[in-house]
Order: sequence, then C-alpha cells, then structure tokens
Amino acid sequence: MVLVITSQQDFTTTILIDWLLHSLTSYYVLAENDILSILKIDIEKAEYIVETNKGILNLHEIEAILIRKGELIIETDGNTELDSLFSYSLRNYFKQEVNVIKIFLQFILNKKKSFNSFFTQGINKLIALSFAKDAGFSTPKTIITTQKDILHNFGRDQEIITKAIYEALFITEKAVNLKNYTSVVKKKDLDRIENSFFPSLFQQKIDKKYELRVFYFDNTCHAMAIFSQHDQQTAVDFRFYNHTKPNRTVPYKLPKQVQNKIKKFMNFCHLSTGSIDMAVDKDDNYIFFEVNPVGQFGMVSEPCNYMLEKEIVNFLTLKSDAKK
Amino acid sequence: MNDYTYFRLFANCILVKGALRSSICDIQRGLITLIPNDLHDLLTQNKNKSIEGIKEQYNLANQEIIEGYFNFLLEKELIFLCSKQDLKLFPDLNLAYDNPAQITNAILDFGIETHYDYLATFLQLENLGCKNLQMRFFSAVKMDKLFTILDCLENTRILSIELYIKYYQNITEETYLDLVKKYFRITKLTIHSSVQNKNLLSDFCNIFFTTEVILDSNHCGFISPNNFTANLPTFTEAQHHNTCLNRKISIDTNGEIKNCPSLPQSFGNIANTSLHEALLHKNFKDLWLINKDQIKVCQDCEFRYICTDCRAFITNPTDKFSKPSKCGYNPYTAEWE
Repeated sequence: MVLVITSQQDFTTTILIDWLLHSLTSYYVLAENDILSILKIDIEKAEYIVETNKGILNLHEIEAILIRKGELIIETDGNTELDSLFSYSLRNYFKQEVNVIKIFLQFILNKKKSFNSFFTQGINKLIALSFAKDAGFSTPKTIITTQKDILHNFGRDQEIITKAIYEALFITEKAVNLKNYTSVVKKKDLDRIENSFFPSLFQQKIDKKYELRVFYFDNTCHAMAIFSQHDQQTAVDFRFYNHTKPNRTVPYKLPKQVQNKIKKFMNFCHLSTGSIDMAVDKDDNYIFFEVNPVGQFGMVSEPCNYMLEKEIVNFLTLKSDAKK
Repeated sequence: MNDYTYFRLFANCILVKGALRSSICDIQRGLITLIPNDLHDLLTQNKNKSIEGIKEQYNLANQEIIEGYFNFLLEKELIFLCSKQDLKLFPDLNLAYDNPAQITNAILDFGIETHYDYLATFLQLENLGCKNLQMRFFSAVKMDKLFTILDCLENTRILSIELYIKYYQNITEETYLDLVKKYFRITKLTIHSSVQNKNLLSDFCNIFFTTEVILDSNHCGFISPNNFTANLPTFTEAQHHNTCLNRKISIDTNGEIKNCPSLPQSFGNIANTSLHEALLHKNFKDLWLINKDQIKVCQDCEFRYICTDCRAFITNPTDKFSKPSKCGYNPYTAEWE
C-alpha cells in the first residue's frame, strides 16, 4: 500500500492516484483535514496503528510513501478536561508531547521507499544559494540589507531585482489577493526608499537567454526551457503568466556537467527530489536561482510529455529493495 | 557573445506534410499555421544548418523568399534563433502516448425503451478510469429521470458530461440554467429539436439550443475544422491510435455495448455483460489501432493529427481503412466542399 500525503486540492495528486489505480496498487490518502488518533505504538514489536475517519491504518502495511505536501496531523486534545488555571500551558505541553510522536511516526515512514520526505519540505533559500555555489554553479550576486546607502552601492553598476527571502507571499482577504512577485528595483524606487527598511533581499538581474525548470527525481534531471524573454510581461517573473500567448515551454537536454552539479547540489541539501529554477544567461552560463522541494512538476511533465507522474508511481511500486 | 545564426522549431510546433501543403501544428497554443510544402522540406532537410548556409544553396531571387520565410516563422514564434552549440540542447518532443485509464471516454445513448442499472454502469465506467461521458437523449426525457441519472454520477471520478437532450416546450430556460448549476460535471448542454438556434450563457457551462433534430446516432461523424484539436494529448494519441475510438466504449439505446453506437458490432448487452467483459473481447480494440496514417486520403492530409475520425460512416463500407464519408476536405486540392 502507498500512503499519499497531500494538500486537499492538489491536481497532481489526482493524476498520481490515477496511475496508482492503473497499477492496481492500493493507497491511503491523508490530506490536511485527516487527523490521526493513536491506537497503539509498540516500539519493541515495531507496531504502529493509527486511525482516521477513513478507518484503521497499520503503518506496517505501507510499502511506500508519496508526499506532495503536508505532514501527519495527530489529535492533540482528545476529550481531556483541563483545569482552567493551567489549560493554556497544558495544551501547549500536550502539543509538544504529540509532536514527538508525530516526528517518530514520520521517521518510521521515511524509512520506506519514498517520493519526497517529511523532513525536507522547506529549504532555506540562502543556504541553498550557498550550496549551489559549493556545487560549482554561478549564482546571482545577492545581498540582504536594511540600509539605503548599501543598496545604492549595490545598484550603482547593475540592474537589480528584489524577491522574497522565505517564499512568495500569497494572501487572500475578502476576495482581494496580495502577492509578491520577483520585481525589478527601478531607479526611482532607489531614490524613494527610506534610509533604513525591513531586511530585504536584492539580487543582480540576470540577462537571461531562457529560463530552466528542472525537476530532479530518482537521480535524474528532467528539464524544460521557458522562453520568458520574448514577452515583456514575463521577462522578470514568468509567473506573470500570459494566458493568451503563453511562454514557449520545450524539453531541454542539460549538458552532463550541469546535471552533475545538480546532483552534487541535491546531495548537499539532502534532497531526493525537487524543482530547480535556473536560467541560462547571454554568455551561456547556467545560473542557479532556487530549489523548491515540493515543486509543481506537472508544469514540466505536461508540456514536455515526460509522464513524470507515471514514472513516480512506477518507482514507488517497483517491488525491489525498499530503502534500507 | 554568441552568434545566433541557427534555428530550431519550438518542440511543440510540429511539421505535418500534406499532399499539397503542410501545417505547423502548434500544440502548445492550439494554433495551426499552413505553409507550402517547399518550406516544410526546407525546414526538415536543413535542421542543423545555419540560415545563411541555407540561403547560400539558392539563387538571389530565392534567397529573398527564404529570408521572408524565416522572418514569418520568427514573427509567429514558431522558431527561435540559436547558436550551433545550442542545437543539441533542444530535443524533439517525445510523441509517445499513454494514459492511466483503460477507457477515457464513453457514449451512452437513451431512447424511450432504454432501461438498465445506471448506477452500476457508472461504477463500471469509473473502475475503467473513464473521466468523460457523453449522454444523448433522443426522445424527450422527464426532468426527474434525468436528475436520477445525474445523481448517480455525483461523487464518481467521472469529471465531465456532455449532454444532449430533446427540446420540450414546457421546460423553461431557468430549468436548464438550474440543471447546469446543480450538476457542475455538465460541461456542455445541447438542446436538440429546438424551435430556434440560440446560445444561453451561464457561469457553469454554455447551453446550446439547436433546431437540428437528433433522433438517433446518425447525426455524428462530421469532420470539420471546428472539431480540430491542436493539443498535446490529441496529437500524441493520433500518432498511434484512432482519434475517435481509442479507449472509447459505448452503450446504444438497446443496451448493446459497442465501440460506437453507430457501428454494427455488439460485444454483449449491458443487461448481462459487464463493460469489463466486453473490453476483454478479442476484437474490441481492433479499431483503436487504426490511426490516420493508415486511412486512405487522411494519410495525405496536413490536418491528420489534430482531426477527429469516424469509422462508422466511411466512403467504402467494405474497406475499414477508407476515408470518413462526412469529411468534405480534399487534401489533394486543399479545398473544402
């Protein structure tokens, strides 16, 4: 049986499940609203039995795990009556108790054959940039500062952009969306800015020939080129999708030495899978931007006809050696 | 700096040669560009040459034409310029086709006499992986019967329903609007035998009233540019399979399980045969493998991989490889009837 961990409305998950059905593999889906109750964990006998509203789940029966996004969610409160004086602190304490159980179960599951991991779903972008350099990639010149004069110096001889240090923001309040895309910092922005400001990341703007999105999985790179530079709207951030005339997206064959750098980089990050954003600049340098461990590989698989969903399911259901 | 004097077609802009002219099927943006066969040959024979190198093979007058060709292709974003070293970085698109479903689509026809266990049948379809359903009601159907049938589809993995129902004067437009609002799986609703042609817009799906009288499955099988689909699933499927019948299953008004309701051969009746059993019949998949490259005339057509097919209505009923009879296109003259 394959355990599928997913957010509730993930389109890629439905395709993966179609392939699981096709391969006649049984599966058990845990989405963010599926809360686990612990029935029994016997460490000596290695028995792990939990229950959700979908029924009893014996982790022993799980042969492989497929994580799109998310983690195990374990019932914290139960029906425990709490003394009002300590209720706040006790609840926090219970959460910590349960957190240890959660991490233990995730640790047990992570030993099975897996697509993605419970423990590497987020990666520090700054650490990733530093690992990319170590792996031999060119990376854009990057600073983080709170000071106008430092920013001015950085922007003197080059065009610069700014982007999120953590993840792109996406908030919806009262049907209004707030997003931050990667944006160019213009001359007038530099003049207008306060002397001191919130710690922000600035990066040299790369003169891209085309962008690359590389999905890395099972030690293999699946790359797609995105011709975002033909269109002003998408030149800085292709997520400003042009729906009437979408950017050209075509299969791309990474040179061997770039594939090796990616492998090296992924090993540094302890990532078995992820989507890497890169670009090739006008001088044919491969420039690393960032890695997203739970990337939307559907956006590579579909236009390039790579059938990655099928490959992932094949990988998970292959009866051979489970991860030690 | 690099010298961008070489070119590549974008991998999703694919050349298809016809008898008189060729097409570039842009299966990313869904567009078709018609080009002379000369240009097709020029592009395929000189894939790895520089544009200057290609021009040098021709005399001055032709060089200007070639220059014009390339400007046209660049402007349409069908090709891009690159350096010689770049050529090997841009492979062709893999044109393999696969799908996790044994059956991707089904046609169910309903007449006055039609009656079987709909729920059980839908579950069988779901188990075969079917996502798309077309249901045609040739005679007037009571709304509550329709609701009962559509209710059976709720909570199934069947995602889209194309519905044909017969016009009935007592049913108001409101009722149809409510229908598509209630059953969001309905992606297209056609009211046939109507008193007028009319489109009714709704937030959920468009509703078409047509005066066309659809009494049986014979209304189907027309080939026209309106039905061209320039996308990756169709284009890749068409390389290997029949673009109408591959992974299709049908149940006609008598409950007979067929490839298509208009075809004569039955693989059993739904009253006593499961869809799965019918699928296992040794001949069920025969027509799935007839692709356009095997069909007479179609094989010379520049639209062959974006077009639908029909094996029920063909020009020569004794030749299963003959051209669809309801196609008015002649690829040898490039004219529509």
